[in-house]
Amino acid sequence: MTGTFACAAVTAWLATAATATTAPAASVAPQATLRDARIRISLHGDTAHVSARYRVSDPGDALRFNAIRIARQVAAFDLVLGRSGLRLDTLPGLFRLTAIARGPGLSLELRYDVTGDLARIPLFVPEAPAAPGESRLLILVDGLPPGRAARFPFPHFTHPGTGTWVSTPDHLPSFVALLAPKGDIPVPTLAQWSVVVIALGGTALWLLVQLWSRRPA
Amino acid sequence: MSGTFFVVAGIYLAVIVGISVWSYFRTGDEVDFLAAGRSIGPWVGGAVLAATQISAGTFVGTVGRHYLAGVSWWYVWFGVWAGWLVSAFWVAPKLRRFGALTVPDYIAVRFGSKAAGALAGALIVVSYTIFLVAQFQAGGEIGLAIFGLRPLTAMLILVASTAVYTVLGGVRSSSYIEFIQTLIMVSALVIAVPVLVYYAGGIAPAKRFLDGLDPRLTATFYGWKEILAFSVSFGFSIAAAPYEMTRYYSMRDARTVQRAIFVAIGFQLVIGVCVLAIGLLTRVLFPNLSSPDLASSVMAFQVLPPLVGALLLVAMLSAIMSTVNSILLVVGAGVAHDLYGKLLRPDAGQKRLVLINRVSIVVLALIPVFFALRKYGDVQSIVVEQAKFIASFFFVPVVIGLNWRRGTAPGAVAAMIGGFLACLVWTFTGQRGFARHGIDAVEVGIAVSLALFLLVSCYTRPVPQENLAIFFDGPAEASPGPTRT
Repeated sequence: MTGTFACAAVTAWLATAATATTAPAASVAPQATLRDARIRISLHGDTAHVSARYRVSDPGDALRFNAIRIARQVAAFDLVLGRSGLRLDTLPGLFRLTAIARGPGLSLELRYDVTGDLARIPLFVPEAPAAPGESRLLILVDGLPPGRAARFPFPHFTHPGTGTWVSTPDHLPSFVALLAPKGDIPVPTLAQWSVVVIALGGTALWLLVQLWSRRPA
Repeated sequence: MSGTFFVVAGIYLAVIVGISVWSYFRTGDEVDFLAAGRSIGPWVGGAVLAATQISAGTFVGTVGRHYLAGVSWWYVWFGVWAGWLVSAFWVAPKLRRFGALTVPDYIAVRFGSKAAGALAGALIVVSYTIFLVAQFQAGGEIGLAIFGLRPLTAMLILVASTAVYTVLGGVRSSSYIEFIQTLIMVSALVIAVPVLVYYAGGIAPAKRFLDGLDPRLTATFYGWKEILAFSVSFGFSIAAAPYEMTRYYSMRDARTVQRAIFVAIGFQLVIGVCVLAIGLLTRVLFPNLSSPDLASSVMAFQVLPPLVGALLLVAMLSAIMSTVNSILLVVGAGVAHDLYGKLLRPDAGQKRLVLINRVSIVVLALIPVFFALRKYGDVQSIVVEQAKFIASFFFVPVVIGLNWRRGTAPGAVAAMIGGFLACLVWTFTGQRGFARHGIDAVEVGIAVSLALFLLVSCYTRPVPQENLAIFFDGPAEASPGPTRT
């Protein structure tokens, strides 16, 4: 009897949590879903040629693609705007491409060049999340000079030895950071070491405290 | 990354098992099991309170809220800290001076009514089962996102690992383990933030990008009425949270409890700032995740270097385990100490009570798995809703009851039932018009609870003086309270 009451109370309560209206629903899934993204980046000197192809299901009337704007970089777009149903806006922190959808799905192919500091190469990310395990996302980078790969690239890349670096993330990142920046403080490496230092230092401190507390009065 | 994680997690679990076994051999009776022999100092105590408060709701839900809604969710912390301060000055010293083992003990003695204590025990068991659902759901999300585990498998691993150390050593092992867990959480977060800032290219570019994505992210996503409602929910539930108050009983004395609360606020300040930064920076790096709850695990697994990512995952695991552990201790005590020991078998021996406690913990750990698999809402929504209900039925009997002599048992019972029902009814009815009237269910629940408490208490027989002395007449006149029962 008590168990039945408890179960009923828990269920009612959880139903309350599910229907509460104060908080804007945190996980309202937009209908649009990124089904495929295949992005190829070719590096030539201080220029990166980016070719990206997206396929989005249920995009609604229009879909926005955002790309972060990075300092010390110039981006040149190879796009047909206007009647093609594309509009490009340049905002202080990002480039925004709006694509008019004509039908239940949207396929889009973009090409642009990025010149300057290539430590981060921006990608256009649609305002449509990928479905983990279902969407196919592929990022390929070639032309990376030998020995110039970052120790901890973003996102994670594999290098099968063909000269092409391959990443298959579950979600599309804002940019690719594969080229090791020149003269930067290697923060990820320092962070790795700080974990070791804290673990060893903490253990040593604990041992010292134990020894101190057991000293003869 | 997986290999690194398993090495770090292996070391972590070995330490936990070591402490648990050590504690097992030092646990003889209920005072040892539920109050660590009243031996916990301010630093360990503060870390314990912080670890108990910092849960999956923080590492998964709050990071997700910052990812989704930006800066404005951070203001909710002020409500949390206000709740801690109320507890530090008006609740904790009196409760610790009383020196019981559970919160229903306090309700029963303060109001001179076993029925009121039993009602409090039952409400605690039900409400914290809800909280466990959120923790297990987060565990399932993390297991799925990172290791591709089925949610049920991830939840059962979480239950097994947490229940083992809770069952073995009770509050003593939990306290030392939670001290370590807090250090891990703070270290992992503090190390992760600079790495994310580095990848995002600095704070200013990240802010410009977020402004472009959605200007509300760096300004006000939530209005002040919503922030107030969230803050009231968390603040009032913290001020009277049984799973925190139970930990007061394990500390040396009332002054230690106050100092521990300030230490806990310090830890939470650091954690709060880091969680805000992580949510926002993850939005910069991955602007369109399929669920905000994925932000922390995606960041740990796909952004951070392996050792830092592994540490952060262990920290997330710690946050969930520490909260699950604290809740299990409270609900286990609710069944064994408050219902079995006080109502059903008052003559039960110490060994039997500890055994019942351990069995209850295992059984009560498994029940929420059933609900967590059904995913009634996102993690933070469940956490917010249970906080509203805890605040609605517990704040008035605990905080007002400790500071107003005239409160009576019928007043406390009316306040608990009335607050609970008012919050429930408003959630299903008036809550839907929040945008228009701006009145949240927790505000209605507390107002009704307070009104009933005052009104009913004024028209019913006062509680005998001997019950009130320990709470209102200061330490000199009060009895020391049971340290060994």
